[in-house]
Amino acid sequence: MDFTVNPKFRDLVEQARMIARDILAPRADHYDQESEFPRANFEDLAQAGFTSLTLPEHLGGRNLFSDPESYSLVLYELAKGCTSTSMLFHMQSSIIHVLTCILGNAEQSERYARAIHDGKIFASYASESTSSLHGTMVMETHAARSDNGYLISGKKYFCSMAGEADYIVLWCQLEDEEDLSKSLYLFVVPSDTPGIDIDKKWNSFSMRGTMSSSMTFKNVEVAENDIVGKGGDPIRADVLPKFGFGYSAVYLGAGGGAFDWIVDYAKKKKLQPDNVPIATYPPISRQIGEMKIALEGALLMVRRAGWLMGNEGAEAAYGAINEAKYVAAETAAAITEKAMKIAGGSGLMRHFPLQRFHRDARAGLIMPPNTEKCLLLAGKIAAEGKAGALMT
Amino acid sequence: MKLTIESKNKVLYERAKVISKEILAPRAHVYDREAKFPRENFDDLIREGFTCLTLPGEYGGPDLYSDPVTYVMILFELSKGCVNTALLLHMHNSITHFLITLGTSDQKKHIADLVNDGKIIASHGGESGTSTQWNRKLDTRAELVDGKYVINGRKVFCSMAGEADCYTLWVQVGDDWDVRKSMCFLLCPADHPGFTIDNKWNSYALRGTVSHGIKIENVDVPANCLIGKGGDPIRVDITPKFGLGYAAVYLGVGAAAYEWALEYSRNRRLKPTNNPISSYQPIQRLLGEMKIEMEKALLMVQRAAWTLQAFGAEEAYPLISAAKFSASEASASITDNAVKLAGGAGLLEDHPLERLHREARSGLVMPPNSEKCLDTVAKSVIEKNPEFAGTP
Ligand SMILES: Cc1cc2nc3c(=O)[nH]c(=O)nc-3n(C[C@H](O)[C@H](O)[C@H](O)COP(=O)(O)OP(=O)(O)OC[C@H]3O[C@@H](n4cnc5c(N)ncnc54)[C@H](O)[C@@H]3O)c2cc1C
Ligand SMILES: Cc1cc2nc3c(=O)[nH]c(=O)nc-3n(C[C@H](O)[C@H](O)[C@H](O)COP(=O)(O)OP(=O)(O)OC[C@H]3O[C@@H](n4cnc5c(N)ncnc54)[C@H](O)[C@@H]3O)c2cc1C
Ligand SMILES: Cc1cc2nc3c(=O)[nH]c(=O)nc-3n(C[C@H](O)[C@H](O)[C@H](O)COP(=O)(O)OP(=O)(O)OC[C@H]3O[C@@H](n4cnc5c(N)ncnc54)[C@H](O)[C@@H]3O)c2cc1C
Repeated sequence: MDFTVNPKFRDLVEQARMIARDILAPRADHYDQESEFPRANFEDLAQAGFTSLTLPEHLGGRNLFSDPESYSLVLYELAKGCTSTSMLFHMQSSIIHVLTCILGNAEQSERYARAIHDGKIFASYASESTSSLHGTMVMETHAARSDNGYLISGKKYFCSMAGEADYIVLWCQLEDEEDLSKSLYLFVVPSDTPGIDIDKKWNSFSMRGTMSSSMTFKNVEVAENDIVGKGGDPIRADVLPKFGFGYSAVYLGAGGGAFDWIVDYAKKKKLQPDNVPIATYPPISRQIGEMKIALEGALLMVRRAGWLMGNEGAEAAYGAINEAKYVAAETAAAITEKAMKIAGGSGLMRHFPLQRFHRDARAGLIMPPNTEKCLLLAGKIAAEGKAGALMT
Repeated sequence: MKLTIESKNKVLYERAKVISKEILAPRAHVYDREAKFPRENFDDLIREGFTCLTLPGEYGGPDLYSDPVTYVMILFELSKGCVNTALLLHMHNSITHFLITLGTSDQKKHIADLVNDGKIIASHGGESGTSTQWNRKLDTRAELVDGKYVINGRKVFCSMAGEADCYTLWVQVGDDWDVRKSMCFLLCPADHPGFTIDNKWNSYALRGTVSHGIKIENVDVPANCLIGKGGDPIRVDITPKFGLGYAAVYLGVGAAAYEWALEYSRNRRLKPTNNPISSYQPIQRLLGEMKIEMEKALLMVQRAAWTLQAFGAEEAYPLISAAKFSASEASASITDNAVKLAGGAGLLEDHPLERLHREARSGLVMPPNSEKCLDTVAKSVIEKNPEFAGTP
């Protein structure tokens, strides 16, 4: 047994921590308050070589998703600085991993990798307002064959980086086949293709920097060589769960950021007449203990899911991924809540990051798979005897 | 990270699983009902070499405290079968390890001979008027008279009272009230006429530990029965190891309840559908919660054990507290959930669940109790730094 970080990627985890502290954290408040896409962060992440991390090695990347545990630690560290940035970074990094390491052919992988090296940004849109990713997925957005490729029409919501990304990876069904396991494909579309419309109504309570407006697609042309993989590939067991896995690390980072802040605050804040740090009051110190234990436990659950995925494959790790997402999101929600109580009135102030972490953590509860779905899946998988024995 | 057990002691771990299932589990309800020391289990464990687990190689043992991960996993497995037995075995093996670590070479050999001869050693620190967890002043005192220590006092919660062959008394020697200088281990033969057992143990949980009170009147033992020096029993590299084992032992209770509930939900069918209740979503939800709590706590226990090995006892101390908290709280909540899942059946004596539910309550108070654990973790966060050893 060994709990150290994979030495192959340790440098990245440490670098992520510095980037979060020195670059992301100071800007996080601005992107949140203005509800603005963190473009400067993306430029700096590209500069640091981070946006190409999940490309395969032969295309100039480090194939970071080959070790999902290390990947999750990078996300976790980034999120402690800015949850929105870490989430968007994950969306791009994971869809790039899927396009260039799993589903794309050699020509496509090379082309998409080149775009990444050129600093282009990729978004990925699956969600629709009338179908639930949590239940059975049925897509309204359809692609039809045309003379030069495909024509896509439909509507997507929660389109992160709407109007900001250079490429959109659209999840949609080809023709009229109802069975998603045969007809669901990924289509890569330049975002300036005619027929794409953004409603620009994004004004949310949390994750404000993600800019997740709704978008409509009307006869949007997609080139013949921009349909990726085979029908049903995007919901394969080694593809779909990777998105949710990353969310667990991202949202736990909101808890980690809140924890670091409140410990620091409680060590500095003194009240008259005692004039000792409020951290030394037993009611507060015991809550610090509770938060710390919860955080460590949740992080281990995320790492375990990553380790299982890396060693036994995503299918075998499916139960663990759901377990991790549940604990991570619930823990971040609980920690930010506790930290608010400890901070007293200060926790509500906009000039402190705590209220932002608190708001961002709420999105973790509903990002797919949402926590109810995670519990059900974890229990169902266990009941069916597929979760394996208790890890030993 | 690597979560597989790959030690040379793995055979012992595999054997523990078999012993637990085939030998301990079938007898567990008897010792509980009759509040009887699990003598037959100990006879079997002595035969299997499990009372020598912590003896160093030179005395023929596998020195399992040099491999704490395997050690705690063995306790975890044994406890799934019978928590009384696992707890007592841990007490015996730990105090053996401490005494051999602290003793002179003659004392080491003497203790190893006793253990190799199938003798059982108990450890008695608890007193009703002082708290061993918080301030640790003791009423039980020894004076050196004519080359012999003469001991007087009273101990409570003396596990294996009247059953162990030797009692290790935690005693203050001389007039010095500073426990860091004067608290010592004195290894006494249990058949000394100065010991009076009150035979009042009739508890709600851990009934098989027979933890009676013991009155100590003029128990005189040769000077070489004092093992180590003053302050040794409260050294941070010594007694916190008790807590690590307790974590594993009490987590075993939760694991047993979870495994029972899983099996029960698969087999219990209700009219009119006749489907197993494990197919109902509210049941899956409960199973999911239990599974997640279980896995998280197990990781915390394993990580603390790994830290003990990789970084030493001082670094591991807050992690052991975090593990103890996670494990005992997890088992308390898992056994609660198991009762909800089982419905009325969970309350009946026909099933092990009502027993497991009771046993889990003891985990919460066993030192370090949950509040003390929080205190330790918080102090390490506030006074040292917010990171644990080996944190990425
Ligand atoms: C900040 C943010 C950014 C996002 N960015 C993107 C993005 O870039 N791309 C993208 O594709 N998506 C994105 N999403 C959308 C996300 O993937 C979800 O699709 C989105 O949250 C929609 O699900 P919902 O929470 O609205 O739940 P709904 O699907 O509307 O469901 C509502 C409720 O009903 C429950 N429910 C639904 N079906 C069932 C059932 N069969 N049985 C039991 N309960 C059921 C759900 O659990 C939920 O509680 C984003 C979401 C957020 C919050
Ligand atoms: C929306 C809003 C409106 C307000 N309006 C008014 C108003 O009109 N008039 C007015 O007078 N005030 C007002 N207040 C201020 C309020 O009454 C408090 O004084 C303020 O919130 C500061 O105290 P605190 O609890 O936030 O934190 P602090 O006093 O800074 O305490 C910080 C933390 O330390 C803990 N703590 C402090 N002492 C101890 C101790 N001895 N032992 C253990 N723990 C301790 C606290 O419980 C808290 O968790 C308002 C506050 C808000 C949020
Ligand atoms: C089944 C079982 C078997 C046992 N076997 C043994 C054995 O073989 N040998 C042995 O030595 N012991 C044994 N113990 C006893 C154990 O070591 C404890 O001594 C025992 O539980 C007494 O402590 P207490 O929990 O009653 O707490 P007490 O020490 O009575 O304290 C009561 C409460 O006050 C709190 N408290 C006390 N002081 C402070 C403080 N300064 N600040 C804040 N809170 C404080 C405690 O946390 C606790 O909640 C056993 C216990 C059990 C349950």
